[in-house]
Amino acid sequence: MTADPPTRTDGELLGAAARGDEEAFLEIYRRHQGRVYRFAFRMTGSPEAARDVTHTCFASLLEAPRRYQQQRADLGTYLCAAARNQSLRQARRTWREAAMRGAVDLRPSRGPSPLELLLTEERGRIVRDALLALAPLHREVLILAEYEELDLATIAEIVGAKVGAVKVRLHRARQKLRRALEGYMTCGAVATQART
Amino acid sequence: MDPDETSRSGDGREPLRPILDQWRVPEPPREIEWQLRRTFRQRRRAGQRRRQAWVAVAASLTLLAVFLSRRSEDAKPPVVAPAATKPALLAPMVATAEPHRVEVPAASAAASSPRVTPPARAGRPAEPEVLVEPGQAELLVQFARNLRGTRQAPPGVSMPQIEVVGADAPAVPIPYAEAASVPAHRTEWGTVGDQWPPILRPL
Repeated sequence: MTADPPTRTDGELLGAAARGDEEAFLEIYRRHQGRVYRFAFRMTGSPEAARDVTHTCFASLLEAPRRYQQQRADLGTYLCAAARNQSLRQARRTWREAAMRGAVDLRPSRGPSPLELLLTEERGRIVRDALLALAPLHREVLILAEYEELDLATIAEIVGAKVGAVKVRLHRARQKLRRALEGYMTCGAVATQART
Repeated sequence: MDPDETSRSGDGREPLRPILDQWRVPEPPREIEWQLRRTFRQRRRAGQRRRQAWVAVAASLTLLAVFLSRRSEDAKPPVVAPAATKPALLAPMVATAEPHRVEVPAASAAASSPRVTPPARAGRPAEPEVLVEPGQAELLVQFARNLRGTRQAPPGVSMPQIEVVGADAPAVPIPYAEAASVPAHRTEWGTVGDQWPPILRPL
């Protein structure tokens, strides 16, 4: 029976990366890439933008490593906050453009979609459009709470707001999303019942 | 705080999570890792170049400081001879400051040639001896003094007066010198035989 090699903490890996250890830096990336990329993807709705945001967040660790303070929050929270700031820049622009285009058509497609794969894609598109139609401040707390399952205190740390404000934003985001997906939820329930 | 609080809808209605899960997000592409690896190496190279530049600048500044300090040490004025502004003329100045070092052959010293011995200076190689005719030592001393621009005659040294005449001046017969008016050391010198060129030797 062999003992597992001791895993280094994020702080130790950061120190090693600052001394030029490339593998230590990539280990940090592999630990936190999933959450940062998913969050950026859902905030921007674009794989290209999510890729840019993820790269920028981790590259900022190289440019200004002192910006991260261990005593304030863990590295995952810090990276999420950095991803949030980067995503908001793009999300605000996208949201403004969407608002100028007009209301998003969230009704399920009337056309026939016999293939389950196409149906799944259709559902995903509707959910994505509904999320992207939310205001960025509502969208970010909803993503962090529903998808990343973070507690309110951590979300408040990431978005830089008080816990009470996060609660209010989360409540309103859920209300808006539920209203936007109302027809789809009914149709989905009908479709589920029909399949069973 | 209850962690489950975030996953509940909060208003008692159907939770959103099953619906939200229908939007699936792909895994982050490997391209990001490659880009980050490249960025890391670029920054490391840039850091090394910056460090090398700093080392070069520091070395240059150190060399410059050493050079300037040595130059300032060399430029300090010497303690002796405040009139000596030109170091190249320092040697004759010292020689005339001590006229007793000019050795003129005495009447009894018939075996040695007259010579001017420059004063020995510490740290410098010995200069070659200068052989002069009897009586020319004073002229050399005056010449050296003229070169330096000083007119002060050292005590006890009489400067011979040199009369300058033009080329068309009438010839003046050389007066006969009595044996008593000839310097003592002249009486014991003369040409030897009928050699050519004539050589003055002690008789």
